[in-house]
Amino acid sequence: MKRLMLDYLRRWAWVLALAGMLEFGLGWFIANRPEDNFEFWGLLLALWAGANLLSFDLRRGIVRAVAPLPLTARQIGRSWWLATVAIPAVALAALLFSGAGTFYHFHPSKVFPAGLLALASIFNVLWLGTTFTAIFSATRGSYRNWRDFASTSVFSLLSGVMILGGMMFFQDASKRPFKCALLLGIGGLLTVVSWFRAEQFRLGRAEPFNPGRAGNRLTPLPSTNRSTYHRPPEGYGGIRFLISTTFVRIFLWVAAMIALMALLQQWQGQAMPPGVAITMFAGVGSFMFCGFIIVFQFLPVLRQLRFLRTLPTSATRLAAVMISIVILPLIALGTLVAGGAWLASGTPACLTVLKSYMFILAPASLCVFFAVWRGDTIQAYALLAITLFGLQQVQLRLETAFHYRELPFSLCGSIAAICILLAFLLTRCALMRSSHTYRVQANPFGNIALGLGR
Amino acid sequence: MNNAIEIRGLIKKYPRFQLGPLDLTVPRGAIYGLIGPNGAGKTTAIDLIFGMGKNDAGQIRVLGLDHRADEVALKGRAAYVSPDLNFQVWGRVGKAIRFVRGFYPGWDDAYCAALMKAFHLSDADRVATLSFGAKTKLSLLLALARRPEVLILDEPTTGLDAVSRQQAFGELLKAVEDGERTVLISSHGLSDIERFADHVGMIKNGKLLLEGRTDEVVDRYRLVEFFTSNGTSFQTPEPEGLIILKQNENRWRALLDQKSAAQAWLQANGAQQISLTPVTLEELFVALVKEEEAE
Repeated sequence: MKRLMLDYLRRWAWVLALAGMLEFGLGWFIANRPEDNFEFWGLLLALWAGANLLSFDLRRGIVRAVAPLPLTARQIGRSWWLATVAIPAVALAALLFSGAGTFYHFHPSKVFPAGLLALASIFNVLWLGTTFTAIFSATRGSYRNWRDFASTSVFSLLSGVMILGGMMFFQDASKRPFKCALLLGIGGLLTVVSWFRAEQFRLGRAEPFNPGRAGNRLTPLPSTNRSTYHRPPEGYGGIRFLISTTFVRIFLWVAAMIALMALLQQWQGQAMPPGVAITMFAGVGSFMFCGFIIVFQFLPVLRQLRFLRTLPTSATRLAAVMISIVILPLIALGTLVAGGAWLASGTPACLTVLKSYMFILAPASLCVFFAVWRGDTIQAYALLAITLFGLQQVQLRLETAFHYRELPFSLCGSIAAICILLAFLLTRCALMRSSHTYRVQANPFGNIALGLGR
Repeated sequence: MNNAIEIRGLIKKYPRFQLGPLDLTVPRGAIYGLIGPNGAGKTTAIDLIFGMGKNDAGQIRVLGLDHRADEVALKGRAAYVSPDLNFQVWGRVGKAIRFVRGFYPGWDDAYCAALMKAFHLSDADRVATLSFGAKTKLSLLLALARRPEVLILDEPTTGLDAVSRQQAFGELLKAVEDGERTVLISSHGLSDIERFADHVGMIKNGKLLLEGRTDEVVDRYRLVEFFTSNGTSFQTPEPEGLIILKQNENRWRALLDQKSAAQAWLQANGAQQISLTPVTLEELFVALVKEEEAE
């Protein structure tokens, strides 16, 4: 078990070190400005210091590599739980207090916020546990019985809602007793569940990230409909089919998320002035949805890139398709949300939303390039995070520097247009010149087909 | 135009590997087997044909079309099969077919239906639940049903059982029976290549070791056994065309290129009881690869 934990910690040392440094900074921030919310950043750091990293290993087929080792499934699961929940929780708490302590050392007149830091550390444990449950649920390849399926589905849904909703709903949990109790209750439950679920880690799956997938069968499954093997499809196919199907899927997913988010905001933001509420809804929402679209909708499409490149379509057109898959739904969603804002609060709110969604096209298109260039790898995720948060900072700096209340349309449009053009040219270049682009995509067959040839 | 694929002076450099300079010629209507050890550069060469990466030098022409300038036209007439291809984003087999069909006006629905029946696939099958072999079959189906003039297969039989492998090769043979279609197949299944491929090219460390008609290539080489009475080594170094495979005291086993002067050299250097036996493609492959490694 010790070797397994050390192996994990050694391989991810650089990410953990980075997260540790940021946690130290968060401790400093909490000590400096205890009145500000820290929960969102705490959640993000816990996400990147926890089982999320393990998910990359799982996708690369680590389960198959460790399965023959002289360890039981329970020992393997517990080792990973300790490495992704317990150890990071202790380390993050120590760094959080160290950061605050360092600040206190230079500013002894300030009050040391011990209670707040303790609460932040407890939140860290809960987020780490919740992330483990989410990742574990996502890796369940098949289910033993309907109870197994039902419990996995419930905990999967709960942990997913906790993490995604938590970015919005729990951002002031330390100051609101109800939210704090809710987070402690559900987070505590999911953390306890994560420990027991880790014991049930099932070995021998080829592709952990496909719930419902049947693993590594070597014989074909019987088809569900034997009477008609094939009926020639009607309607259009090709690139138009790819764009339309991904567009509809993304649009419906995000529209549902927007509806949920609007309900949450309505619930928690009664006291908030409508202008602030709309700005927050547009600003935070557009960045969140952009991240969701890239990670959960665009990256799966990228896994077909090798195949797409063999079809009779040029690199230029393929680059345009890649960018369109992400920006077309964002444009449609921006229009939808702007329409809703106009109906609810009038033209100024509508314009605020439109600007937010126009600006988000800039990081979204750059994210497309990074994802195409680096594939479904940790480097790509790091670049995506840097791009999204970096451009959000650019937006804030521009507003501060030029004393804008909001960026003007012309500036948002120019930034978006420049970034889209740049992303298109870079994506085209990656598609045409880079061999790496076609080699690093997550392998649908686990590790089986990776070593077939150069 | 007698050649379906012509590769001339192709070079692709990586930090720790260089493909080429590679010259490769696949005649029209041939089944060409590209063989080589792991990491020889087979997939790199195939990837470059389809524009996955940029070559540092050289030229690739498929059906007379330049692989970069006429990229779209080339891909319209050539198809690619590999176990690496992933169709999961389309969810169901039927949707994957609908997507690919949209690119090819000449898509053969009847043939597609026949292949689906032969491969035990159905429109309703979920791509995610297909076995490894069934995914390869789907990849093969999507390539064959468009009736390509050139079919390029990279390890197409990986994960297929013996029956499915025979079935896949049967379909490939049917596809080329009119003599107009060409197949380039990269595989480690040397017995399959020897049986089905009429041309073969052997690649090692990014370089082409030999190329030609399979029967001529195999016929050119012989396994030779002989004895020496005057010690355990020759006075002069072995000539080109003679690869010593094994030596036990004064008994020798070697691979002999009949086109070289190696046999005469053996006789001149005191080799006795020389016996020649035909080689299989696998024996030839192992001998040539081992010689390269020894060098």
